[in-house]
Amino acid sequence: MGTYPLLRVENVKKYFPVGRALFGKSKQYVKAVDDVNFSLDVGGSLGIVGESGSGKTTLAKVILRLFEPTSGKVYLDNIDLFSLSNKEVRRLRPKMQMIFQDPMASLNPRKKIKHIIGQVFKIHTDISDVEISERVIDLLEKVGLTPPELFLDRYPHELSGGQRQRVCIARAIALNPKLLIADEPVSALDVSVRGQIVKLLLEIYEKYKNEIAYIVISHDIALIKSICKDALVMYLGKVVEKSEIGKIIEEPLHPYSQMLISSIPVPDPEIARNRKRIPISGEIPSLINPPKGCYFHPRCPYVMDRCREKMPPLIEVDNRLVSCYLYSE
Amino acid sequence: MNDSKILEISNLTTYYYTSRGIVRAVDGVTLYVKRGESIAIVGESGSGKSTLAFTIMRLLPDNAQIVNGNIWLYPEKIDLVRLSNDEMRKVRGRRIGMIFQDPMTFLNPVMKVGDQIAEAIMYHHGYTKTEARRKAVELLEKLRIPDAANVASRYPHQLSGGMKQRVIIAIAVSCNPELLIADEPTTALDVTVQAEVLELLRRLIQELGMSLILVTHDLGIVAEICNRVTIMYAGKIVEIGETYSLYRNPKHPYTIGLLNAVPTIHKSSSEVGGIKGNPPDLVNPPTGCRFNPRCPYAFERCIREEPPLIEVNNDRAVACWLVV
Repeated sequence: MGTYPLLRVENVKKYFPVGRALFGKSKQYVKAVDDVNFSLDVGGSLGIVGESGSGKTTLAKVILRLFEPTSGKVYLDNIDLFSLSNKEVRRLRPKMQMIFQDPMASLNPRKKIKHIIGQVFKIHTDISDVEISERVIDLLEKVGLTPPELFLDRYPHELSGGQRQRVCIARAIALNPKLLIADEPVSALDVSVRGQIVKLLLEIYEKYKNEIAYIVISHDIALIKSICKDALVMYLGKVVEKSEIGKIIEEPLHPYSQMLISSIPVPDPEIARNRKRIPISGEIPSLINPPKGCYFHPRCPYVMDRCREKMPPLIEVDNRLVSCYLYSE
Repeated sequence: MNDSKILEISNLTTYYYTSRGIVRAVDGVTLYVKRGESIAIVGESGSGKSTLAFTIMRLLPDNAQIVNGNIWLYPEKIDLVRLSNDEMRKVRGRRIGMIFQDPMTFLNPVMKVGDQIAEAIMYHHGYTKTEARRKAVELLEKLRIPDAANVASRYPHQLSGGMKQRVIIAIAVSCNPELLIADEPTTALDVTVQAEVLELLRRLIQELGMSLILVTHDLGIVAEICNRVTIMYAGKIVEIGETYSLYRNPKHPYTIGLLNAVPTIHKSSSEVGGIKGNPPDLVNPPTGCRFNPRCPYAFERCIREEPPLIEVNNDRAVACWLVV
């Protein structure tokens, strides 16, 4: 294990052009990810929390070079990912894997499970077919699809949602990735099945935590809390708060985090009806024309003059990072 | 809240006739709703909760049929199952309003939202167009929508998801229905917007004295606004109870599993459980108790015989042989 963090994300930006650009100029951009920095050690687990449009999925896809970045640097194991050619990225792919929200959409409907998982070894290794089928069986057992013989010859449509997500997880861990990103891994699943998949993700994390870093993306802080140690709260492409997940839930610093935490429905009528609520006003502004100053100021109950002028920098408060003028000085 | 009933459902059975066979989506459901109360119907996808809601509104697709049962609307005790389509149209909107999951699907994309609200008012109250439009704006103001006149003159695609859902709510309550059925009203919305819409619903049922049937898979939002909870599994009610007591002391193994399966910010990750297996196929449901293949306590009787819904307290009924 090196002394440097496994993953370093530096000033990453991803702008999507919008509108017609027939005569060049006057192009507008959606700043989906705007200047994000963080690093993650081996064994680290980071949750990225945000509402739709906060840029959390775009950030993940940029880190994995599934989207080309606008600017910034990402280092995985000290390799500068953005300087690699497409071919080199493909070779590195087994080391950085993603689990997607909708398992049906990420499995080839015309391939049997054994081929879907076996394909990984075919592309990236030169092991024999016999060995491949052994590895596939081993992986199916690891993700709880037992007995594996029952699943080898099935097609994705013959599996339930939870089982399909297990296949996706098996495929993602097939070649011992260093970075595993799960994007809303349980959102598409039935409530009673979600717990099983959360458990599986935790098991896998425990098993591989000496070599792997985990990122879980979700709008659901409760899910993040059950898997990750740290969390990053995103709002309109910016990181507004980063700290240990427990602290964010117990004592959120940024007014947006406070609002987010207090709006989560709690499945306990006593807590739900007696807790204090942060009054909510307004809606998420458009990313094409974000408000001047702090992006959150039109909805913020503590807004000051300064917030309307300039975006607050991400500053350190008690070992936590927060981007809000309430905490400067 | 007085104790008079507004709706009573008795042994309601709705089947879908598909090429794969008969889907027993709602299979013998008995339930009542009191005036002014809000009751939740909780279940996973395929539990029949939405079919139940659409059956009450008589908005089922062509391949579905109400096979058995009654839906009595009080005080006249008219049976909605037996009403003609014309008579039912007068009940819909006027007496029972409905809010749907995806607001975009239920708004007309080429009609201004103000006109869409006004349409319902014109139909049921016979107002003129200008009067109805003015009423529509008043209604939006009542829902505390900022700049209501401006919003009323917009088309659905110009509004955000939360705003569209508020327009749907405005349409649903435009004729002061006695009962509001909300089918996953906040599932398509972000959490902060969801909190606002829930707050709005809570206020509306209080101010207008409406009853609410909330259909959802999310035990969290139930805990926020409902008085009573009905848990459905595979087309049947497995447990009904008062919200506080049901959350504190769930009795049916499925309810227990469901409450444990949700990660919450107040629970540590080791407490998150989940239920083994998957919801059954309703074309060919398991014999006996439909939950038996997934139940950790299943014994021989559960496979053989179906447990009836038995009242265990005055506010709790459970369908499980363990409780008998």
